[in-house]
Amino acid sequence: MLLSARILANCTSPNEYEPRDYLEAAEGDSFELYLQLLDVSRDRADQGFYPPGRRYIPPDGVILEITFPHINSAKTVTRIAVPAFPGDRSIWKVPVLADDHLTGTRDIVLTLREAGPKVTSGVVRGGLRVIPNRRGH
Amino acid sequence: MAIYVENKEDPTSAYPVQASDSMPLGRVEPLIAPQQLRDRFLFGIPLYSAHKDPVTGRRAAMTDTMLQDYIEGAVGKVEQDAKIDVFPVQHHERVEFDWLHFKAFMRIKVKHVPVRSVEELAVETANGTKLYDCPREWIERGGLPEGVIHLIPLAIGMPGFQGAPVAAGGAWFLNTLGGFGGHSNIPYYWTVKYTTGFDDAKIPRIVNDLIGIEAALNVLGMLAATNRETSKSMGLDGISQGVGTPGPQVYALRIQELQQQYQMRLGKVQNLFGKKFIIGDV
Repeated sequence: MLLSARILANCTSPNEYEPRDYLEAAEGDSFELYLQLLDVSRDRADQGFYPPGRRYIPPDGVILEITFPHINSAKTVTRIAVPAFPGDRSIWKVPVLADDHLTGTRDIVLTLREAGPKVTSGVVRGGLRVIPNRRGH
Repeated sequence: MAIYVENKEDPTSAYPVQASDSMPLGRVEPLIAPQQLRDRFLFGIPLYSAHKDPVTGRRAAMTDTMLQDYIEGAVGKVEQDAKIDVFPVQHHERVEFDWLHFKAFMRIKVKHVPVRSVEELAVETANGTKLYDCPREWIERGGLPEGVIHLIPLAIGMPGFQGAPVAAGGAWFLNTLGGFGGHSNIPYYWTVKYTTGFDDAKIPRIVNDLIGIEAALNVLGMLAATNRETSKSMGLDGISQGVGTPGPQVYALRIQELQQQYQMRLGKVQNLFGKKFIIGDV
C-alpha cells in the first residue's frame, strides 16, 4: 500500500469528475479541494495504466488529515478532510480558505489515521498551483 | 518545518530583486506545469516514441506524470547551475571570523542565495555551545539578495543593543573583538541560520524558463533516441521507394537552440543574484 491521491476537478458526484495531476487556483480564492485516495503500488504506469494508481477505500472511522506544508511552520495549513459523498469513501473534500494565503506550488500531504496506532502517509507532489495575482511581494 | 520567531526578513521581494511593490503578472508564477512545458518549449513536437512497443504494438506516450518528473529533476539541475535555491531552504552555516571583515562592519558572505531572512547570527564553539547571540537589530539587510550580511550595531538605546551573551564564554566573544591575542582569522566562528529561495514558491519567470528548457532538453533527447533509423527503402519488380530521416539527430537543431537559450538565461539569473563572478579576499 502506497497512499497518494488524484485531484478531482468539477466533482459533482462519485461518477462525475475530471481527474487532474494538479489543481489551479488564483491567490485569495476559496474553494473545496476534492481528492480521490489511491494506492499507487497497484495499477502502475509500467503496467500500462494511465493515470496510474488504484482507487483506495479506507476502512470506516478513519480520519484524513490534509496538510499544505510550508518551510515556515506558521504558514503551514492543516485541515481535516471529510468524505465528499456518503456512498464512496474514496473521495474526500477539504476546504481551502481565502485566509490560508496559499501561493505558488504546494505539495498536498495526506495522513490517514485508522483506529489504533496505524497511520498511513502519502503526498501529491505539486498538487496545488496557486497563481499569484496580488501586488506587493 | 522551521519555526520563525525572531527572524529578520528582507522587507523587499526576492524577484524583482529588492522591489517594494510590483505586479506579479509575467514576473512570478508557480513552478512550470507539464502543459506549460509543452506550450513553451515543445510546441508541435509529438511526445510519442518513434517506434512501437513490440509487445503492445503501440507507441509509448510521454505522459504528464513523466513530464512532471523531468521538471522536478530540472529544478535540482538549475539550482546547481545557477547556484541559487529555488524552493525555500533553511541553512545552518559556519563562517570564519576575519579581522578585516570585522572592521568593515562584520561583513559575512554566506554561500547560498537569495537570502530571504536571517534567523540567527551567533558565536558558537566547535562543540555547538552558543556563546553570543547577536541582536537582530544589528543585522543589515541591504545585501541579502547576494548573500551579504553586515552587523551594524548602531541601534543604541534600542532594546537588545547589549546583545545576549548566553554562556560564561561571552567574555571570550568580547575578547575576540579586541583582536583575540593577535589572531586575525578564526575558522567557523560565526553560526548563521538563514533561509533562501523564492518566497511561497513564487518563481521568477526567467528561472521557470530555465527549468523548462532543462526539462525540454531531456525530453527531446529521450524522444530522439527512439528515432533509430536514418533511412528505409523498399523495392519490388522495378519500382522502389526510399525515405531518408535524420534518425537520432531529428531534434538536434532544436536542442542546440535550447542549449543556447539556457546559457543566456543562466548568465542573467547568476547576475541577478551575484553569482556571475566569484569575488574573494586574498
